Amino acid sequence: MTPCQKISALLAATLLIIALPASTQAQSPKTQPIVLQNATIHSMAAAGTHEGSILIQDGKIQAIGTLAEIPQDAQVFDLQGFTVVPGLIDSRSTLWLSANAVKEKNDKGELNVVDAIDLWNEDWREVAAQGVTTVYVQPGNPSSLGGYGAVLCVGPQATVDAAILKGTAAAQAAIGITGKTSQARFAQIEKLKAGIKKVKDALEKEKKEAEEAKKKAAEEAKKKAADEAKAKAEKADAGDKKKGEAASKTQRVRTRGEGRPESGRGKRGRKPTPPPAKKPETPNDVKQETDEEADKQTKKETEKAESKKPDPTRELWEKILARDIPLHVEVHHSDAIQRVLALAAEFDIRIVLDGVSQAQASSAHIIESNRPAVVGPLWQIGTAPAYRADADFGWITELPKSGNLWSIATFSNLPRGSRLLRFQAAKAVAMGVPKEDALQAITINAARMLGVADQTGSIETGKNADIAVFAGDPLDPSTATRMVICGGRIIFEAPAELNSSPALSQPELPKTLPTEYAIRTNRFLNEGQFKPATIVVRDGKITQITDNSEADLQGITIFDVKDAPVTPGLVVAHSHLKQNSELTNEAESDASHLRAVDCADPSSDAAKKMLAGGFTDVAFAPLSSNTSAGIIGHVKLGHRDFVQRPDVANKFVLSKSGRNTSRFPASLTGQYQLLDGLFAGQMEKTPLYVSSAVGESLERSKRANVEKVKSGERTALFVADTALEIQSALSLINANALQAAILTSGENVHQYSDELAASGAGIILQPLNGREYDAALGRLVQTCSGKLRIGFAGESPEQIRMTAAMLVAAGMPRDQVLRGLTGDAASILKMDTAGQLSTDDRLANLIIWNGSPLNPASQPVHMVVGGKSVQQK
Amino acid sequence: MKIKTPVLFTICLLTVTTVIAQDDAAVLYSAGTVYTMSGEPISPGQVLVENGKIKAVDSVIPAATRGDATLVELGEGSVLMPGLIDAYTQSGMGADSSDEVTKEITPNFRAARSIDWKSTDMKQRLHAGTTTMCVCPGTQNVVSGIASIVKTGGEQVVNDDYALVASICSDPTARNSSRQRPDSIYVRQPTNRMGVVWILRNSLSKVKQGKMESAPLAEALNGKRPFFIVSRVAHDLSTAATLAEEFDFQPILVGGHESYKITDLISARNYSVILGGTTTGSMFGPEQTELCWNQAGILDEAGITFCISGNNQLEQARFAHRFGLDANKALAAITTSPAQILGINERVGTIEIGKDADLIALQGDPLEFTTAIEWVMVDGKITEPKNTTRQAKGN
Repeated sequence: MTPCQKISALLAATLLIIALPASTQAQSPKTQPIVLQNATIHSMAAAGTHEGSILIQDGKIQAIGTLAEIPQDAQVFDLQGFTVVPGLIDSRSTLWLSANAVKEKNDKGELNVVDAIDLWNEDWREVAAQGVTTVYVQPGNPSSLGGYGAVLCVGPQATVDAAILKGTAAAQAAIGITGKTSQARFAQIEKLKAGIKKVKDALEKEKKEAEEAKKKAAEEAKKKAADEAKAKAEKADAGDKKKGEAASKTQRVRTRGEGRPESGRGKRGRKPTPPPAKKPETPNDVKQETDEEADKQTKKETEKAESKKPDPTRELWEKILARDIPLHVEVHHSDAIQRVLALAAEFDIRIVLDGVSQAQASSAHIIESNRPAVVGPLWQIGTAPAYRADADFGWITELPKSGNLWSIATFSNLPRGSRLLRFQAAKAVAMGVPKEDALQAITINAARMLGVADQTGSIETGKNADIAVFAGDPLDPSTATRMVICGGRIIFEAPAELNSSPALSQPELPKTLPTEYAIRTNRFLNEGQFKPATIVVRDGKITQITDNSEADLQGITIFDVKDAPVTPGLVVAHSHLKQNSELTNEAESDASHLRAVDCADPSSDAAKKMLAGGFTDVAFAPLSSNTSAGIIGHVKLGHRDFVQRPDVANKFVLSKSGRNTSRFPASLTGQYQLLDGLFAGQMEKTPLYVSSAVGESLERSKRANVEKVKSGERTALFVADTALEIQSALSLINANALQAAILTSGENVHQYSDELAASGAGIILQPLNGREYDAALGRLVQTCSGKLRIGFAGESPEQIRMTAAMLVAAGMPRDQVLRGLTGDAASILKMDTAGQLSTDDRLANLIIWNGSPLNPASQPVHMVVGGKSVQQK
Repeated sequence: MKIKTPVLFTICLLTVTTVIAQDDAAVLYSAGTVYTMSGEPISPGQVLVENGKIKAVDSVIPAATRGDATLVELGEGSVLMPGLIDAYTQSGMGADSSDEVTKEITPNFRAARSIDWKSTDMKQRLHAGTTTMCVCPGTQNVVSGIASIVKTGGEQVVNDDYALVASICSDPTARNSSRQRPDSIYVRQPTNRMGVVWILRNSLSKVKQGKMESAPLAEALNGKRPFFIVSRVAHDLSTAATLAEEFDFQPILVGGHESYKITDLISARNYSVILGGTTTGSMFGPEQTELCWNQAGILDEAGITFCISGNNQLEQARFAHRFGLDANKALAAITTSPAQILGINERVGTIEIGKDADLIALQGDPLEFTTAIEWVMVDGKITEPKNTTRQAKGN
């Protein structure tokens, strides 16, 4: 070692000594130990599910089971009855990414998602509050080949490095996001293929060249050795000198002869191997050869310069071809899935299929290929983007049986979207995936998929302490979260009480039912409470509802569904059933005389889905584009006479959607003025060009309709979101003594809950969807629990049941929410025959569920609708 | 002294907290100086408050009047003055709900309908000492509606059917210049100042001739209802005067940023002026009006009745005083003078027996820029602004 080397080695050692404690400290901070006692632990490992305690220290799980001794300084949580699971993992999230980062487009794999992480964003709080401790983020799907993704820990993070559980975890690609046709997808895959092939060929060529160069070097070395040996021999054998010279000459000639084709190829080829040493024969030849040499020299130099320039695309493909990282390909359509599978086989690379929303035709291939898949979103929140508009995840029930590695993810474009991961898993359960598999798909299997199973995903000694504690079934999103620990730090804690929907139970019912039968259940929903009851059905009509003292049920086949809940058809308190375009016309701000039911289509897809989801009674409403939007009607889905009552309420809009700068009113003052005038009998003149006779008749009709609202025959439904809008609605309600309801997003209701309760107005909640609502939801639940009647608005059963589940998880009493899905919604909107079981022949609606309607994992399994039995699949 | 002050503050705070709990009971406030605004300041002075009204005010209130009222010592150097009155504001109006841009005139619209009592805006005005405000509809319409007089503390409307507000300025034309969409308000009239005047003149003459029914406009014309005209540039102010003469009404000029240029005209006609904010430190006000920092002083010299409106009224009065307005007049411009212009001087504006207990307590000269507001009282109820100002002062 030179002195210089010695110094640098010393320096490095010192640095290591300094750096080591620092780095260990960063990874596993010395913290107060945490003990979780007496919990039901779903370990997701060999230990299975068991009762026990967990000791957490220094960011790791130190011991599980019966703890021999609890450290004195430990923070002890008694979790008797609570359920402990590994921290949930969203294998496709956008947490901490800005909207711009999600939209960023790149086709050369130049991005690294780590560069887009914004730790100042507080969305992680809402994500943590739902038990999610780990997320995988990657460049957004507008990129066809975006770059690298990373696995991140949820929680307050000081630096981006601290947040990263695994950087450069995978590469991202997407097929069929843009371009709707299979040709477009084919072109995209071909482009991907061309990219990978180019790199593969280049690598192979380099490898070959390297081999050749090596071979040549070896040959030359051999030759040199031979020459040296010969020279030695010549020296030694001086007598045979002449003979030896002749021999060497012939040999040289022969070598040259062999070299010729090689040099010929050199002229055409890009990287010629230098011809062997030669002896110039003619001057002409010499010149040619020197020119060639010069050419080669410049070529070599440019090549060198090129190879020095970084080529991220190539680097990315090299990593994939070396099987260092997998390629996450977001792919939805069957044709593209098959092509991607073929591509992976051809190049022998690791791929993960993402999304896979329309794999009906290729599900068998996926299972056969044994390639891992991240599926989702099973629960579509809001409108689906075009590329997965026809999503059908029915095939995923095959996955648990196949042994393929698969996980469930939210695929949300919003950073806080990962908080709905439990809804995604619940949907899988509702679709028929066994609960254990669904839980695996958001814990250990997701960890395996992302290559972090050695650190997280299960509760095992030595793993990172990533743990979520729920007040009951973790796969029931209406269960509150008790606490969440990530890396040994408590990132969420709430004084949640044990509160969970009863377990799912599959009722045993024959495929065909006799003409007369009775259904006995321990859980018949009435007035928000579940009670035992027996319901007699004859010819698909409900004839009798009794408690379980079998009085006159002799001779009737009784099906005992035991704990399976039986409910009346659920009620939607406000819906357009996705008929938006038929239900809107912005021209006339006073449309008091228009009836929504006049354009109701009971055979629409939205209506069918609503019915299949257990909702039979809908308050069918016009859109909110006019200040007096029109008349809401009561529609009974699945019935022959579907319009139960055409006019249960009038809708008045005080929110922004009713304002329009193209016509009056453009302001809340204007809206108030219009409605105040309306109730006082002063009509706004119609802006349409109509004859005075028609104008007068219109005005009469409008006045007559408003009179019905004033007399209390119809409900006055006000759409109001901001505090000022709710205040204006209250003022109109109180001034005219209206029987009213407020359709609201629920963000400002807490300010006026007392006034609303005093006025007797009901609250109809808009679906919560992706908005920032968690804090607002808490306030709403705090101020309105047990005080106000609520109802739910929505366009699909999923939306409504999600809102209901979130309310329960936030602490609203279950009976209040259940009444909101049945009787209360019906009473707010004067839908007399809804929300209760009726023995009236025509109106019989009865839904048998496999779990509580508040648990999104449950679904209707048998229905009697409009006097007809409907067996769900 | 320096050691004593924090102790005094603590005592103050403690007593104030107890007072909040029992606001109907009689409380005697004893201050260094009481600016009654109805005469010379009383120093030291005492104010007796009971049931939201002022019971007595004097340098020492006799025990017989005082009864068993709780005594609150506000400390040495403290000042009590009447709550401030803002004669023209849009504070407390919902952001996107104050202007009905689809119509040229909306004389029946009431600002009272759009007041968001729980808005931060409203709280901030209260914290800055404003206890009474005249909330007006916006200026996007030529005739925009009816102003309301409200108290900032508590949801109390003094008069929800007050002045009619019209605009002779460029605001009503602001959005109407484009001709691209014939179905939208962008082709609504007026599109220039001449149009603004035409619409106003047309409406007034129709009402006068009985061709159009509009009670608020008729009342404004025959003097039964105050008529606010928002004008800032000198020529707009002159136009307002011309129209006033033509239709024989007495306008109250609002804004008036260039009114200092035409003081002769305004004083000759005896118009009142509600001055808009001027503490911008900029050369130009709204609509590129040429600002004069002593505009209040100039109006005062010309003998014109005026008041100062806008956010942070106390700061504005200080500003006006600094550039030439007499100290007493500066305080009057945010208390008695607006009360007189709004016609509510029987109820608020001064500290006198029988008036509303709307007070502000300060720790020093009100016109000193660093003086903080200790608390604001509306109808006997005390609100303490956040203590940030006091901390900044270093006490």
